[in-house]
Amino acid sequence: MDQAKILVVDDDVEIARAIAKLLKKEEYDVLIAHNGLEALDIISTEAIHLIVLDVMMPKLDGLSTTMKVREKKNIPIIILSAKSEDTDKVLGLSMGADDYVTKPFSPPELIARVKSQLRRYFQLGDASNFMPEQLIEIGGLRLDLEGMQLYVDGDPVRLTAKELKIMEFLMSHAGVVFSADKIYERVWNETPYAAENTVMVHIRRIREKIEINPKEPKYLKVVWGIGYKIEKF
Amino acid sequence: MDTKLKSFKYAMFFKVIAFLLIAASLTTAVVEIQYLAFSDIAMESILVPSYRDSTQFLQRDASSAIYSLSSAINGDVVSNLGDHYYYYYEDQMGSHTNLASGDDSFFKEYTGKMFILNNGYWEYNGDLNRTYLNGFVKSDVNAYLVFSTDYMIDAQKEWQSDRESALPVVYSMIGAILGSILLLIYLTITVGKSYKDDVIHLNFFDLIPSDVFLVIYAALTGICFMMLDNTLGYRTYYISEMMTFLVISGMLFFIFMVLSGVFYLSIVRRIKAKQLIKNSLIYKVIFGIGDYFRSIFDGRKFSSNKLTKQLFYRQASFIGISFVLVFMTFVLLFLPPLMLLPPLLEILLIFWFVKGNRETFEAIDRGFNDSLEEQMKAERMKIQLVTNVSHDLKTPLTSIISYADLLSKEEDLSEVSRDYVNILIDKSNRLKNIVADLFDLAKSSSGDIALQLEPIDLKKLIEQTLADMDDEIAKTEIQFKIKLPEVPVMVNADGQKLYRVFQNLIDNALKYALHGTRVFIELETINHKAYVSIKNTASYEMEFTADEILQRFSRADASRTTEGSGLGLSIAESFTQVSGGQFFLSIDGDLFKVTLQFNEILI
Repeated sequence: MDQAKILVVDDDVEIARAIAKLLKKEEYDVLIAHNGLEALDIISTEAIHLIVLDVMMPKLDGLSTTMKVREKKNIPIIILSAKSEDTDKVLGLSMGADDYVTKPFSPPELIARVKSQLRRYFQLGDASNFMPEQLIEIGGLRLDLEGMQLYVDGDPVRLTAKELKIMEFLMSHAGVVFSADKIYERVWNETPYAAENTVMVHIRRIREKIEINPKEPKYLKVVWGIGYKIEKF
Repeated sequence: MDTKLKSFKYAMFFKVIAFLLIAASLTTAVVEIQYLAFSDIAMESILVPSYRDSTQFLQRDASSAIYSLSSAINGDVVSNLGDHYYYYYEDQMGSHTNLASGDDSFFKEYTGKMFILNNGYWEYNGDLNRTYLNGFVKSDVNAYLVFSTDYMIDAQKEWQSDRESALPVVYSMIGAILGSILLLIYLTITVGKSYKDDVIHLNFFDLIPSDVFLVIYAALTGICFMMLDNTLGYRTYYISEMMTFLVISGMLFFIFMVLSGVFYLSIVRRIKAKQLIKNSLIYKVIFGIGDYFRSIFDGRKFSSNKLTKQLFYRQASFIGISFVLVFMTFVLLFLPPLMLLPPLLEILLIFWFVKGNRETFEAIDRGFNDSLEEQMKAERMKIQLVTNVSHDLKTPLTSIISYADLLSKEEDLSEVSRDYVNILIDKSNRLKNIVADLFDLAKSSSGDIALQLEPIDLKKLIEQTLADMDDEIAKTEIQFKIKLPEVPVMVNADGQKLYRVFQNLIDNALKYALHGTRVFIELETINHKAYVSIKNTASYEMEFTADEILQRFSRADASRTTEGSGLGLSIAESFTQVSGGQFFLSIDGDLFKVTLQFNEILI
């Protein structure tokens, strides 16, 4: 497995070509399709490892294509869309996509996301070989409780003790929103004082380490005016 | 010069003076008449200079002398016969006279000045028609009567003195009246006009409906006259205090004059402005009722509602025809076979009425639904447009960004080309932000925005936002002074949107605050309303108003910075509003202040 094969699907010929070029520069093997039907054709004949998929396309749109692919295959799908609303993202992810990138995207970010999805995809195969007992896994995040080590898409991330404790607490209650006071109590074991600022600063540091785009976090989210949570997948 | 004269002519001051002058002089005139009436001066002396020619002479002196003499001639005993006159008459008994000479030749020199009894009639200067000269005298007696010269001289003296004291009063009265008439003409012409324009200016009095005004005037003058009458009735008691009486009656008359003046001038203004009739209650009521009925029949009332018009006419004819049919039923009660006709017609009528109404209502419903659908369609179109435009902007932008990135990765680029490509990347990224902001703003202001309203703590939100922007704040020399309450401040809002609001506002403060100054952020609650204020001192002179800065696309200082879309404040405003809050912006010198207001929810 020296070269991952990526399928780029976009009805805009120029955009499809640009993405293909970007990915080829990263030494990936790239195929191009211009609509959902073409994409399904290619997937059925070629061994594809990742799909970058536009949503608004003629013949078969991105969301329907995602559903069709998911009926048979588990390959990572990154949706690429001009729709930037939260509801669109939630819809895309719930259809079975693994990531959602809005147009216009920043090329380095897209590449980072492609890499992270591929790493996860390839390691998942290996991962089944050694599964530690004490493990929390959420999306691309994997927290090894014994070794106290956090992996993002298989890559180890260096976190401080407090940061690890915060991640442990939040990951063990994925989807639940905690106030800064609560987090402070659990992590620092002290009566909260100026907790909001302390916790927020830590959260921001963690985000910079684990998120591809810290401004649009995928995992560690601030629920404004309420608290913090790890998104549940 | 002309305008000066005009301004002089129409000056309010002069009008008021003229008005008061009229009232005062007419009052004076009336008081003078009263005075003359009181002071026992023979008014006739004004017109007749000689006492001998006056009616008073004939009525008083002459008639009593003639009466005495006539009685004497008729044979009565008269005690005061010949007091201050000489007489002579002859009857069967011979001649009677109080003349020493006893001769009638004395009267020769009094021709034209004496009274002569001839054929039973007394005549004076050949005049027979003066009834007061008549006595019941035998017709066969001739008599002469003449007043003594001494007496007449005395009487004339008294007459003259009366005349002398009355004449000045009369002249001043005539002057007052003439002057008043002139002033009244002046006022009549100028009233309501101003030298500035040709429009008739109406004042407070003129707004009172004409008929009501008339009634008020009549009532007030009535009261005035009742009081005046009352005073006059007691005139005899006042006789010793003539001045008191004159003052009271003068005052009452003055009030009457002022009232009349106000009334008259108002009427003049109304006539000039063609408002006399129009501005009366009776006219308005009659016109209003008339207009209402006319509007029904000339279609004005239903001009915009064809269906209502149909409905109205149908109802009117239904009621009308039903009435006739009921009447007919009674009429035909005595013709049994025909009696059934009206009820049958009535049934047909009801059928027609119900059917017609149903059709009308259906049409109304259809119109209502159509307009609703039209509205929905327009709304959908608007949202569709925003989405489409956004998509159309984003797609080419994606290509630009991607290819600029690819270009930057080319290895054999010259120094200059690399510089250009970096500018392209930089600007296309900025364009990306602007498009994103524009889209957010368009969606939130068109109302097509997905909101997740939930109870959130404003205090916590502000703390989180500040912590989130910690790095950016630390980079500047601007100090943040935060004042938050001890307890949570819960509001119902979309946290993500409110975060954008505070982020944009803090961002704005960071960008435009003067270095070394402080930014104040305060949160407080008053009467279950939460207020957040953000204040900063601008680093430049803000030559725009609060409204201008909130206009989309306006930039506080376009030349100063090239980052941001200029939509930050507009987005903050719009997002605040969709979150159920109110956004206030004020600019006071260098102080830039934004206040947000939310309804606090109670837990």
